[in-house]
Amino acid sequence: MRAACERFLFAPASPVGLGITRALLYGGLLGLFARTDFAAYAGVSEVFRCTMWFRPPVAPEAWLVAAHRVWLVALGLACVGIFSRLAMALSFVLGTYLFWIDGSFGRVHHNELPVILALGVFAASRAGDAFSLDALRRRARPEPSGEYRWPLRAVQIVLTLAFFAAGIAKLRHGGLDWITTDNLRVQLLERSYALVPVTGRNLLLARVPLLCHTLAATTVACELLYGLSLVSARARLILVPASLVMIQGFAVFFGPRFTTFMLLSVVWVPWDRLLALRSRARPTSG
Amino acid sequence: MTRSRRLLANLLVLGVVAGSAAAIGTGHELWPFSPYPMFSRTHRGPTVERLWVYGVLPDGREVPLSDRRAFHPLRLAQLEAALTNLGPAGRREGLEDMLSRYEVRRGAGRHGGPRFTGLRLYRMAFELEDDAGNRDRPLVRELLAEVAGETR
Repeated sequence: MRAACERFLFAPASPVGLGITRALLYGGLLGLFARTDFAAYAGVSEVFRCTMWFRPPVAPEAWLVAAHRVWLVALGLACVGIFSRLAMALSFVLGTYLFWIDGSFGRVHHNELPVILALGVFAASRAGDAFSLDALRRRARPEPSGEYRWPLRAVQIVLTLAFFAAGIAKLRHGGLDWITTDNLRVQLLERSYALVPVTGRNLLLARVPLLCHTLAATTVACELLYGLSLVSARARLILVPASLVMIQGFAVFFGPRFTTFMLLSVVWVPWDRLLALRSRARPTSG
Repeated sequence: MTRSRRLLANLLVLGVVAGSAAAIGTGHELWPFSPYPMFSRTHRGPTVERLWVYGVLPDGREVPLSDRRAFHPLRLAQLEAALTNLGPAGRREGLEDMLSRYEVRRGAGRHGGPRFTGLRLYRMAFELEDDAGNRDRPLVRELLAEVAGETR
């Protein structure tokens, strides 16, 4: 068992896969949060803050603006891989604070939670050793190592636990009724009675009860079984794309966009193998 | 890979697993760990209750605050959760804060909404219809809180 865990986390991997993932992850976060107005929380009344085990103090507006800008710069540097370790550490510290502020008003913002954990994992990793300007500068070619496997595994575990928790929550609060009753159809209809209603697509889907039941069952199954992707390549080929479709479905029919879950799914792409396939397919010159 | 690095990696992974297990087991938000309860409540209909915020125009008419920019930076889910959990005094304080920020942002050209002289929070109950055609005809419309700003 212990040996299997060891292999799972620390089997030698090339640094390139982790480097590509780093570039995509930080570049994606830069794109997703470049225009987020964290500074506006400085002017919001404390009455809107929710109960948390610790609520971080909200810094003055100018400080929040500065923290956001420095965070974006750190994300950019981590993306291209220059001063990678410092950039990833700074991305984690500032990102945690900004997301914590955002999540302490009204209710926790679930889209941001796995990002914080992923940024923490990458801050402790050697993800800048390849596919980075740092690597070009050093001209070093690190050997495959467990150093380049565990960060990807850790983020895969973060995603697995998040999906599993969502599946368990549905069974805990609704039981099988979540699937077998009109629950999903009613939830879709309810979206049209919100102060800011979602588009009419939810009403189209709600007109087909059988489809609603099927989607409810598929959602719970996908969330509970997502963890199989950790141990089975075949399961990964089905469950990871299915989860992406599910997240997109939530956005289209319910409104909330769990974009960071989609972005973090890059940790499942076997970049090493894809690059190896590409170089094998390329005709040799001369 | 050195032993200390391996220990660090193991501790991080264990921390993620332990934190998530605690959140899942207790069903409580333990930021940054969560039981991810989104959409988990079962809804049976045939009615639905929502909180709606209305802006009061200078001529006394009411319009729903259905533009997200009106309560920026809060998202609708944050706003609804906070207003649901607050008592009467808290709701009034929240509405006062929203109105002042709305007017400041309107004055700064951050949104093109009309001037409001007050805000009102209603509990709305609707009978669910397949086309939501009764959105403007609630079964219940109960005033929960009200604030007035400048009347000029």
